[in-house]
Formats: sequence, C-alpha cells, structure tokens
Amino acid sequence: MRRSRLPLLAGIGVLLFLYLPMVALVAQSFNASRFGGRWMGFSLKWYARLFENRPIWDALWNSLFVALVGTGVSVVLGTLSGWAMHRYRGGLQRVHHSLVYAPLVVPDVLMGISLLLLFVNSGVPLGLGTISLAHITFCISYVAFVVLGRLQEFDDSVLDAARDLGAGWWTTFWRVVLPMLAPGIASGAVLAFTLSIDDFVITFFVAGPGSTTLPVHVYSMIRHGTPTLINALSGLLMAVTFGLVLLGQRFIRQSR
Amino acid sequence: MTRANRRRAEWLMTAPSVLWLSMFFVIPTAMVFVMAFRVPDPYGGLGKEWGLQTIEALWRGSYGPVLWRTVWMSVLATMACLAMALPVAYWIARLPKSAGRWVLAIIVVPFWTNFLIRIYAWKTVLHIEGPLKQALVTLGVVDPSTSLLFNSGAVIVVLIYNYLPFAILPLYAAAERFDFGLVEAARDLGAGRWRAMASVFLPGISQGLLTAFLVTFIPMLGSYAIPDIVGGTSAEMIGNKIAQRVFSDRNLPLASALAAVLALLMLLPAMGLLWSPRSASRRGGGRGA
Amino acid sequence: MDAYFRLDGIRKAFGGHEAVKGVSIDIRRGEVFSLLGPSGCGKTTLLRIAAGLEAPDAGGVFLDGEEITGLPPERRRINTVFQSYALFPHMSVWDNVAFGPRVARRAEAALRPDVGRMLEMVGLAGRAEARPRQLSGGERQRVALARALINRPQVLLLDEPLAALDRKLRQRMLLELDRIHDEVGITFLYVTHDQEEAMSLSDRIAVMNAGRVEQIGTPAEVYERPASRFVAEFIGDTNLMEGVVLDGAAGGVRRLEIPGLGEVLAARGRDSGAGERVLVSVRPEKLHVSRGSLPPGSGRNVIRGRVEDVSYRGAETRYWVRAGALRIAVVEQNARLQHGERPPTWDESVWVGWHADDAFVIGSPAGGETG
Ligand SMILES: Nc1ncnc2c1ncn2[C@@H]1O[C@H](COP(=O)(O)OP(=O)(O)OP(=O)(O)O)[C@@H](O)[C@H]1O
Ligand SMILES: [Mg+2]
Repeated sequence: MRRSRLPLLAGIGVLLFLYLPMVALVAQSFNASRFGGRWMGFSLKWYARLFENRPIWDALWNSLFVALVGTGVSVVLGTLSGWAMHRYRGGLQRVHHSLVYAPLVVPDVLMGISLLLLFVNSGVPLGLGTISLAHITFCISYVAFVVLGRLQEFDDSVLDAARDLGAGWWTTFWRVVLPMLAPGIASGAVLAFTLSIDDFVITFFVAGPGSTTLPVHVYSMIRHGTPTLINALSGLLMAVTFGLVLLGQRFIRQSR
Repeated sequence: MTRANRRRAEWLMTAPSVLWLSMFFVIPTAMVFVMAFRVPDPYGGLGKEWGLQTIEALWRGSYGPVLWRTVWMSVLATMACLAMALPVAYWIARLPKSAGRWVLAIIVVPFWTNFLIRIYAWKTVLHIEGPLKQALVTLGVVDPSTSLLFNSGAVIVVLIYNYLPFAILPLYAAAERFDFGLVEAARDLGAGRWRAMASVFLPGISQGLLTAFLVTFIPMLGSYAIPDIVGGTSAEMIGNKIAQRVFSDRNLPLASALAAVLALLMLLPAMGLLWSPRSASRRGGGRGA
Repeated sequence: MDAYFRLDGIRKAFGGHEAVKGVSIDIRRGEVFSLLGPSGCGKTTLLRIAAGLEAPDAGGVFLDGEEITGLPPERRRINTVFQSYALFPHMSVWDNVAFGPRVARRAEAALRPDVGRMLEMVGLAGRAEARPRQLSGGERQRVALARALINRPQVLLLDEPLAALDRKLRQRMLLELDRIHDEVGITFLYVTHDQEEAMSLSDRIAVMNAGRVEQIGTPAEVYERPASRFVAEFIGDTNLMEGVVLDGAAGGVRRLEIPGLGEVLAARGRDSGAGERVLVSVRPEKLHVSRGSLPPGSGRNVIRGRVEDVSYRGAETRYWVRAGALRIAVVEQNARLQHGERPPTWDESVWVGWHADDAFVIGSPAGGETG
C-alpha cells in the first residue's frame, strides 16, 4: 500500500508557514534601512540602540517582578490544587475541578475586563500589584493541571508503602511526595513563568501608570514607535527564548 | 486515618485554590453581567446608579455587524486551522516516535516567542514594502497599490498562524492513540484511501477534533490584539470594541455589557465541551481532553 | 495450635459493595499462609486491613495476643510487599531498602551493614545505585522484598508478588522466597490467585470466594478433600457428576446412582442420607482409561464411554470421554504406558475407571452461594 505524500507536504508547508515570518522579522532587524522594508545593507546599529533604551529595561524589570511573584504564588496554590484533585473524589472535587478548568477556556479579554471591574469596584489602585494578582489567577490552573498530569503517572501505592515502612504523614510528604512531584512542580513553574512573561491582553486591562511590562511596552512600540527598534527587540527576544529552549532541552535530557 | 481527619485534610488542600479562584475569577466574571446594569460615569468609570441605559446603548450602538464579523472570521479561521492541522497531525503520528517528538518540538518552538512579536512578524511580512507584497507584485498577482494589511484577510491569516499549534497538539494526541491497523483493515475491505480516512480515521480521532475546535475557536472569538495590530476598522472584532470602551471612552458599563455578550457567545461551544466527555463515554470512546 | 496473627470476623464494604464478608483466619508463628482466590474476591482488601492501610467495618486484628485493629500502619510491626512493588521511583535501590531504618531514625552507620546484608540476601548487592526503573521485574520484586524484610517485621504480607513475572522467573522466585522464608523465619501471609504458587509455597491455604473463606487447610487437604464445589473447581481440574444417594452409610462407602452412568461408589466427602441429590467430584488424574475392560474390583467404578478428544501434552495425555450426558476428563501419565502399547485414540470405545477412595461427595448440586 503506497503511502500518500499529502501529509508530508502539508507538514513541510506548515513548518514553512510557521517559520517564514520569524525569519523575515529577524532579517529585517539587520536591515540598515530606517523604515524597514527594502533591504539597505547589513547593520547591527538597531541592536546597539536597543541597549540605550531605558524604558525597555524598566519594562523588562517590571515583567520579571510580576513573573516571579506570579510563579511563586501560583506554584504553591496550583500544586495543592492538583494534589487535592488527584487524591480525593466526590462532590467537592468535582466543583474544584470545574473551577480550576474554567479559566483555561475563558478568553483573555473576558478575564481582563472582569478583573478590571473587580479592581475598580473595590477601589484597588491599578499597578504591579493588580497585575500580579491577575497573573497568579490565570497561572494557578496551568500549574494545577501540569501537577495533576504528573501525579496520574504515579503509582499511588508508594504512599501506602511509605506508611507501611513506618513513615508518618509528614515524613511521607517530605520524603516521598515532594521529591516525586518535584519535576512536575518545576515544569508547572516554567509554564507559569512563560505565560506570565508573555501575557499582554490581561495585563493591559489591569495595568496602571508606571506599571508597564515588557509586552505592554512592545505593544506601544508597535503602535507608536519606530519599526527598527521593535525588529531588533524581536530578534533579541527570539535569540533569548531559543537559547532558553535549547538549554531546557539539554537540562531535561541530562536529568533523564 | 479517621474520616473526619481525611475530610479536614481535603479541605485544607482544596480551600486555597477554591477561595482564590472564587475571589479573582468567579466574582469578577459575575460582575461582568452585573455591571452591565450600571450607568456610565460621565467622567469615566462606573457610575453609582443602576439602570438600563447601558443595555439601550448596546442596542443603539449597532454592534450587530461586529458580532457577526467576529463569528464568521473565527469560524473561517478555525476551519482553516483544522484543515491544516489534520494532515500534519497524521504525518507526525506516523513518524517514528522520536522523530515525531522532534517535529512537534519544532512546531511549538516559535510559540515560545512573545505573542505580540508573532503578530508583529506578520506586519513585517504583509507590509507594503514587505517580502510577500513584493513577490506578489512581481508575479503580477496584485496591484502595487493594494494593501495586504488592515483587512479581514490579514486578521484571518494571523489568527490561523497563532492558533495552528493549538489545533495540532490535540489532534496529534488523538492520532497517536489511534490504531492505524484500522485504516489498513478498511482498505483491505475495499475502501479507497479517502473513504478509509473518512470512515475510520476521522471517527477515531473525533474527541481530538472536538478539543482542537474548542481550543482554537473560543479564544479566537475573544481576539483583541490580532485585529488591533493587523486589522483596520473594517476588520474589528468584539474584543476591540470592549477595549475601545475601556481605553478610549472609559465607559466600563458598556464594556462589561459587550463582554457579557462575548461570554454568552462562547458559552455555546463551551456547552459542547461540558457535554462531550459524557457523550464520549456513552459511545465508549476516547478520554476527555 | 495457638494463633500468632489473627483476623477475626473481618468485614469491609466499599460504598454498597461488600468486598469482605466476615473472614476469620488464625495464622501460626513462622508459617507461610496463603490467601488463594479469584480476582476481586477481596484478598487485597483483607491484606490492606492486616497492614492497617484500611480500617475494617467490623472485626479485629490481633498480633501476638494484642489487638492492633486501630493502630496506624507505621506503628505496626508488619510490612508489605505490594502487588505493584510500589518502589520509590526517585530513590536508588539502596535508598529504597534503607527507607524503613532511616524513618525509624536509626543511625546511618548502624543501618549500612544491614542494608548491605539484605541486598546480598536477595542477590542485588551489585545494583545498589540503580533506580527502580532500570531494574527488571524480578529485580524490582527482590528490592521490594528486601525493603520490607530489613525492618524485621513480625508478619510479612505479600500481595501477588510474582504476578508480574514470566513463568520461568516465577518458578525461580518461588524457590527463592522459600529459601528466604527459611532464612528469616518470619510469618508470611501470601496472597495469590495462582493455585500452583499457593500449593508449592504454603503450609496452609485459605481458599476465598466473593469475600468469604470457603476452606482452610494444608495444600493436600484442599486439593484432596475440597469442602465445596467452588474449591473443587478452583483448585485443579475436576469432574463433577450429579447423582442421587442410594444408601449413605455414615463414614463408609456410599452408593450413588448417576443418571446415564449407572451405579458408582464414593468413599469420601460429606455425609448424606439416602435419596439426597449430591455432586461427586473426581480429579482427572485419578481416572484411568483403557481399551480393554477394567474389571469391577473392590471399590472400583467402571463405566463405558467413547473418546471424543485426545490431546497429547508430552508428559501426559488428556482424554475427553463421552459417557451418557457427561463429558469426563481423564489425565494419563505417558510414563505408565508399556512399550509398544497403543493408547486409545479418537472415537474408540473405552472403559473409564476410578477408585471409590478418589471420589468425593461435595454437597447438593444447587450448591448454595458457591455455585
Ligand atoms: N478502594 C476501593 N473502593 C471501592 N471498591 C474497592 C476498593 N478496593 C477494592 N474494592 C472492591 O472490592 C472488591 C475486592 O477487591 P480486592 O482488591 O480486595 O480484590 P483481590 O482479591 O485483591 O483481586 P485481584 O486478584 O484482582 O487483586 C473488588 O470488587 C473491588 O472492586
Ligand atoms: Mg489484589
């Protein structure tokens, strides 16, 4: 039976579709032309400009702050939540599961406006604080489901085994549960951090004066700034993310 | 451990996330519906009084066309995503395991770059002096004066670009569990290639198709940044209207009324999501998403 | 015959479903005691109650004269080899075995020789640094054993420890377990659904069915004198014949009328009065098949039949003989054949005979809940 070539061709087509815009953007970032578009020769000057641009660095700092707070809190809440969903059955957990699942399907705009309404209604000043609260909220669900996914690969009888061998609840938690969960918690944390660093829409709704994160800053550059700086910033961010992905791959392979 | 102890431990572990999400998800979402009945504050923000003014404004504002555009663009982009993702998922599922994992990683990697930059990349590509435009002009397909940007076509392309991996992943997960021996059996029984696909493969991955549909369609309905950056006023979606009410006229009641409409809109396919696992188990089919 | 480890009237229900329906077992010190029964009959549940991982709805657990029913698992001197082994995946073999002593706060220096000795005993001294997932099934099983035994439990519970192993390895591990039991002298409570395992390892067996114990006895007792139809059918193969008692001399040989076969004699089993409908059980290997006539001697039952199927299995040959409405299974040892003798073949008319001592009366055909 001859295999159809269609899937292969579609695959290659899709890969081109996914990568070409990226390649075009990176190419543009080395274009000496002031307005982008036509090729005017190779240059690194936009990258140099980037490093002199204070607001970008301030925004990056804000983003890191929010991502660290968001990741820290959501990892604790999400891990507990995933553990509870795994460990218990019954009415409470059904409600819990739907509650944790719902934020995953709600579009960002909706979450952004609803949080804005909450903050405005309760008189909380918008700023890094409200952004952090928002980020914790959408990260919890992701962490919880990553942890839950990990837990489902476990053989739960190891918990019985620990108790059978003389460990109380506390010892079992510290010596068995936590070490076994560590990789799951770590991937949940990486995911939460990435989502937080990347979020624009929700952040945009609940940001206040002086709390510009990197994506919000990129947005205002796209709307009002010169293309050349964004091109360079894009190139830089892509280099950083690809570097991190490669590093992560190597790390994962080594820990296997 | 006694039953009461167990109960208490369950509450201790469940309460933090439940309380947090009630406070920052359930209550705010309910507010979206409630605040639609507040009157706007002339100085921006929420007025103190209750009234139907906002609902009237929603009628008068003729949001019908925007709503309709939101739906048809999302439907079109979702269908295109599924059509592209299906052969790709099939292809990866039939590759050797390790090769498949690599291809999957390669597909996902661009999505680790910032969301806005992925959109902006298309602005570069579709730019009036960008590579695609130049190529098309050289080929004589388009007139030098046509703009590839700021129309619904551009929005749909970028929607597809951004949600394609979300369609590929669940389809791949389903295809990987699929027993391809069934396709061979169907062909052995005389079904042609397409017939075998339609009668065996597609039903076999129906759960994945449903998931792929929902995880692309629902967020597309709520798109805001994509039409905002590559679409013009003629390609606005409901997300843009919500943002405009918030950021340009600070009419929060009207913004929440529009958001409520969006919520109702996405409730329809979300019903499908709630309904699907049960229907799947009734058919004895695959696991939920 | 004093009980060392005693389960007394244990009951346990999950939701509405009764998994264990009043089980009492007395286990002697140093004995290997098996719970044998089909899947889902409540073996694991009973074991988990013994370990303290599950609380019984009713009944008590006693160890060495003390009641331990309410004691949590970590405070019982009972350890378990779990059905799935339940090795800690994030710890090396060494750390797995050292887990118990470390939790008991024994000094690292003091526990080191113990761990080493345990690993040696199970033949894994060279694999101390390996992770569980790098081990084969048999090796995992040994780690689980060492990890439990290092705590010197008063009773060791084993939940189908060999179920995940292939046949060859299973047989080797059985010998190994036997050797280890001799070496440590600990009381074993061994759960299995494999009768061969139970027979070859145990001092005594409790045959379980649907949450109840059907019979407790030595391997020979449960095989040779099954107390119920369930036991007769579950342990080994058997021929069951339904008939009516003609005269039921208590303790002596009973005459029965089997419809279609005629009169047969049964020397063992339940006492039953004349006119009662009963089942008679005869193991296939106690039957003999021959083309020539088997003369009706003392206590010998002989019937006429026709060979319906023959299957040659190397050491033995299995025949299915049709006699009236019955299809009788017979196992003949091939070693018993004389040189040049031709065994009966398909569609031949044969005699089938057995001794009255090998025929058992095991109760009425309706058979109560065991049917
Ligand atoms: N935690 C539980 N919740 C609900 N039902 C249970 C639970 N544990 C066991 N059961 C039920 O109790 C019955 C006995 O189960 P158990 O695990 O004791 O059987 P088993 O004899 O060990 O079987 P196997 O040989 O398959 O291991 C089964 O019907 C099982 O479904
Ligand atoms: Mg079991």
